[in-house]
Amino acid sequence: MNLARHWISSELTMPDCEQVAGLEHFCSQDCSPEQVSQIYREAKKSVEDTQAWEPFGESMCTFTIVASPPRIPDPRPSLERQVRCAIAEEPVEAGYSHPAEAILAKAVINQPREVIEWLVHLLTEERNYGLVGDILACFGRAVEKSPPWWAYNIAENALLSSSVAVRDSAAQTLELWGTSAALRIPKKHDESVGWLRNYIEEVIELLETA
Amino acid sequence: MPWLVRKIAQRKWLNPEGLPEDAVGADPITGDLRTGHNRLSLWTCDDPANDAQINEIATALGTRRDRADPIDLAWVASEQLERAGIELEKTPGDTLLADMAEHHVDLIRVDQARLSVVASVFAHAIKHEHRYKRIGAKKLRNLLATAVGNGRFSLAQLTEK
Repeated sequence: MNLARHWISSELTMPDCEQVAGLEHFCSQDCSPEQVSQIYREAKKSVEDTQAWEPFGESMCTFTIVASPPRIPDPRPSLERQVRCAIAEEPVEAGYSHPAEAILAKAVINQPREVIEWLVHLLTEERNYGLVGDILACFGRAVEKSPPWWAYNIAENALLSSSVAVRDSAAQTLELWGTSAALRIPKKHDESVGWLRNYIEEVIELLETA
Repeated sequence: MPWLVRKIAQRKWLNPEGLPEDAVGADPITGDLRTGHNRLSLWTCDDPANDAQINEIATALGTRRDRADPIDLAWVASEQLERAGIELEKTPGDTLLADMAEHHVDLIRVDQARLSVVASVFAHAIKHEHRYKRIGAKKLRNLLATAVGNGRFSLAQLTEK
């Protein structure tokens, strides 16, 4: 959730708040309005401490902390909504392409950061594991031809999930990519479910010959 | 036709999300046992322990998919369903393998009670008798390539993207 970052960026009239040392650290979390205010104060202090305040002049010193942040459009909810709607309308099924794949393929190109943040959020926060497995499968298919380097990190995290559905989806995704770069992920995984362990062993054999 | 084979998603049967492992979730019933016109499509097989026969069914199914993803298959004894009063009708299977089309039946006049029986029989076979198998994506591609090589269907007929 980037609301705090966008809000602070807007309030401080900074073109890119990530350029300010220390600010990103405080802003990369989901926040209530009260937390946003707290983050704002901490960020301001951090900015002052790092001498980054000066280039932005008086405008940064005259802001007012408001009770709740303004609603600034964030591309991620739109992506999330599109994918969730696509999956709600049509189940993800092995062997058949799904409309969510095209949505994710486009997003990986146009807004990769949002895709990463959303997938990480899904893997850590979402409790509808079947849905996470479906989204992961669509993501894997979306980048099938040329998985970006960070996609392997997503798959690695997915393989650590407590959910069999998510782990199975991750293993299938690694088989789908079929690249030697994926090999280290299943190799260091210790699978507890018998049938999935057998499958992962098959995937390892396959990747070793990739 | 001693055995009836159905494509499933084995994780939904073996590890139902949010339910005890011995439960039969709603997802495999509404997904894997999805009926059409109160019929349920099944493939027939003499010996599912014979990999070649199961591979044939996977290949038959694979010809009608647009992606070569892994296929999970499960099987039950036909007499188990027939004993429960469930009727079978021989129908051609939807596949590009002409010689496999005849290895197919529909369960007919499937109502809620009969579907529940089918679900229980499959659940028992999968959970307690280990009557399931996954054919991985790479293996499926190889099976399809072999079938093409043997002239059983042409690559142009496949719709894989």
